[in-house]
Amino acid sequence: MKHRIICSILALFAFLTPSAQIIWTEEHTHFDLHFEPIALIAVSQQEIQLSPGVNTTAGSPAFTDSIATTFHLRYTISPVQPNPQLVHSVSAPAGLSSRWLTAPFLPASGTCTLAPSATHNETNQFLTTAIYGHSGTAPQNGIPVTVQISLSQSEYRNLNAHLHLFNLTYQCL
Amino acid sequence: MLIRILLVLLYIFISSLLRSQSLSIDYIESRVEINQTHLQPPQTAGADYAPSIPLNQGAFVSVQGVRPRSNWCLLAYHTEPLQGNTTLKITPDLASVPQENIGTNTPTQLLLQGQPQPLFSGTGPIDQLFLSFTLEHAHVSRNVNTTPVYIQYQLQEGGCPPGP
Repeated sequence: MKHRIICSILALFAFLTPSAQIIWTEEHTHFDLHFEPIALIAVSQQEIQLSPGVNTTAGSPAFTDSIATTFHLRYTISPVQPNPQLVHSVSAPAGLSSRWLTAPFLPASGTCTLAPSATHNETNQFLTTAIYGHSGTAPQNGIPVTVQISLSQSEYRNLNAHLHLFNLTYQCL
Repeated sequence: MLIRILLVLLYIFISSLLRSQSLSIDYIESRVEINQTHLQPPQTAGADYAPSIPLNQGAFVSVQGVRPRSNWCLLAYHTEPLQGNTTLKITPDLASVPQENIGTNTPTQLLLQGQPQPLFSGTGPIDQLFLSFTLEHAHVSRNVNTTPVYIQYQLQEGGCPPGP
């Protein structure tokens, strides 16, 4: 009888001492991770100087001269906004005709295309340019954009210091 | 006499099992925001999120009701995977607890998985073990809106097993 009790206690010990570690307690937790929509960020502002960087395309003096400048527009587009729009505004001297040339670019994945080139609408604002699609991996250095301004001969002759600067700004819509 | 000794040992053993160990995890923030400042480079055209983002989040871990010399292991795992291929890394701040409370085989960090993985090896009760969190492999195109992060913490008897 005594042996039976001892054996029972030892067996109980063996049962209560499993080889696996005992889980004392558990706690279930949670917090929220919020990815903010990455809105179009317009941070570029650039002055384009007509002179001395004028590329004469038809001799000098010419009826139509143009400048072609490429600069990097820094932006980021939210993946949750299917059709973000970017407005390019320019403070151009009155009376000058100008064209806005853009080139499609191919990001590392997906497509991201600027709308076709637009003509200055004489309200100091280029036509709205839409950016279609986004992969999140557009060129790291930004979008190359070319502004081409055509000048008549008289305009060319009448250029003065105040006309030399085109101030381009960008606005997110 | 032998039976009495065994019964006493059995009582001690069972009472130690029934001792109520408590584990509490207190997050600093209930909501963590990821925005354009976490791009690499920050606020840059078309940039993607940095491969590793230290979150503005921390947690204080308290383990109470354990014997002063008893070893334990804190494990963690996620009950639901994060969006995309995103992973979460948890780093225990070993300087946040007294040296004598740090057990053997304490991991330096834990990459959260679906199965319990050792996070901290402790000895005796601790008051405020600090945990920091790092988000990895997030992508602008894949990670959007709000996603809950569910983490289950487990307190086990005995120290953590040696790492790989």
